[in-house]
Amino acid sequence: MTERVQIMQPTSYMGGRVSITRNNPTCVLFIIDQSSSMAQEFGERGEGVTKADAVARTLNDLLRNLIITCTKSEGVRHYFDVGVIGYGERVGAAWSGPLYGRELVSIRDVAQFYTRTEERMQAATDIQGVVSERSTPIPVWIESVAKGSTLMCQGLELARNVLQGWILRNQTAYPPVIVHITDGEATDGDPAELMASIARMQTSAGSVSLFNVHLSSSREASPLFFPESPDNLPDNFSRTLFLTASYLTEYMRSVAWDNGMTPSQSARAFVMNADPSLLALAMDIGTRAGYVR
Amino acid sequence: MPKVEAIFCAVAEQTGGSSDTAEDAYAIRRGEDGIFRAAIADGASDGIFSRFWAEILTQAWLPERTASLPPLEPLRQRWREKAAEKPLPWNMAARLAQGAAAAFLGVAISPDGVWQAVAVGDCLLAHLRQDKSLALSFPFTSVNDFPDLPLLLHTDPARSAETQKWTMKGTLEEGDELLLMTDALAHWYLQETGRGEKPGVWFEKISPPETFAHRLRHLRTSQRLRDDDATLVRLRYSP
Repeated sequence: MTERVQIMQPTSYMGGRVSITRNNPTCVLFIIDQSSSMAQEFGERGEGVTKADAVARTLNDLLRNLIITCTKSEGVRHYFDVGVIGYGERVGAAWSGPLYGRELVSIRDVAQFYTRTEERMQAATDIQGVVSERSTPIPVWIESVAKGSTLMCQGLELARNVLQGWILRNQTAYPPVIVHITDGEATDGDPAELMASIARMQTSAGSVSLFNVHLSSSREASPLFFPESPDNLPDNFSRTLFLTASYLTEYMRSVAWDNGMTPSQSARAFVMNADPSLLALAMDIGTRAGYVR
Repeated sequence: MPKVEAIFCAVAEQTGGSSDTAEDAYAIRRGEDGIFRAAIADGASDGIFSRFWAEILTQAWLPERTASLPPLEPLRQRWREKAAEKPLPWNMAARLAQGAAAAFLGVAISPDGVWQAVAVGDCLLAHLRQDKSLALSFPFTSVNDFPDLPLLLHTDPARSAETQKWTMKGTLEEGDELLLMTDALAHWYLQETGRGEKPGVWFEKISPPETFAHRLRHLRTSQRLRDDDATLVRLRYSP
């Protein structure tokens, strides 16, 4: 039976977009800013959570959910190749622990090779349907990092190469899903053309889906989500983030509507000045692009 | 008097799957009361131990009793016991709370050819005449009837749709067939029927199961059949 899960987009029964299957997995690539500015506090005053902490935690939660989605009775199915590219003091795969240095990893291996677990109180439903709050070990793959300058161009170049290689090997696959999270402008050049070249990539099943998430550097800045035009954006960088972002799919929009937002058909997969809750929502929506079988 | 015979039963897994990963199940039995019972179930991929749940449901259809859904609570308990048999890795433990679900279709046929069927979800029963024309299909009559999110029998009572079951009765004539199909095959069948074809003829050429699997691969390759597990139970009311 077809499954509707974390990564999904309702399509017509036949003849719609290509499905994501074990034989035809797709690629999910996160590109994250790990520069020193990510050490700034994020969210409500006094929480002591930095932007880097929030990104790492949100990403770990998302990876955990993806793995649970891919878990079947026989184990974890290879629906996704997953990559996390960080740019800051170093540019490269951002996995900690056993996956260190690996650019793309089967979701099966991600499930197996986390770096550590952290105990977190979580509401959990047991097999009898009883809900209770208990300490649950949560796997960690990505640690909070905030060092160095914003080598965004280098990070995007690596991402482009990784994606090109993957598409070459998977030309008929469901197109890759890319989520780029940053809090500021590049210090190593103009990333506009690199971002545009990533946004133009495609498989025979369609164009990649690029979601740009800009994190707030100021508590006063109002979040802006899913704009339809670049008219009110403050600078060239934000306009580049807007112009290279994909259009929200119908399903992404329905998730946004469920969360009290009302993006139109021409809304872009772009949020600006995101706070922690908008970061989590944007990452959730950003990875709801495929259709798993 | 004619009697019901199962002339073909098979589960064909989706591309890339194996008999271990298929989540469909079927069961057939001629009871001592003379009633022939058959059931299919299509385990949902977003559950865990879904095939086991599908097997529990189909097996529970077989004992002699009226043609109604069996009480599900004892069946849920069996599934829970199976799930708790051994320690699970973190991701399977997290998945377990989501339970398992399946679409279900059961039919009971008495010796006089009267059949009664119960369905929850998107499995299909097709009643064919001897010339392979379609007498009726249940619970859907057209491809447009297939829901995006079918109702399912769930191990979690709060998410289960047993109160929303469909029932149907019919009468077989000599030479008639009943086909029980899970959703992908059922969708193809009604699509072909809607085009004025007689897809019942296709089923004449599918035995043994390897041929069935091979012909399904052909339909999938030509984009006419969705790539999913496919189960078929074919019953004939023969002299």
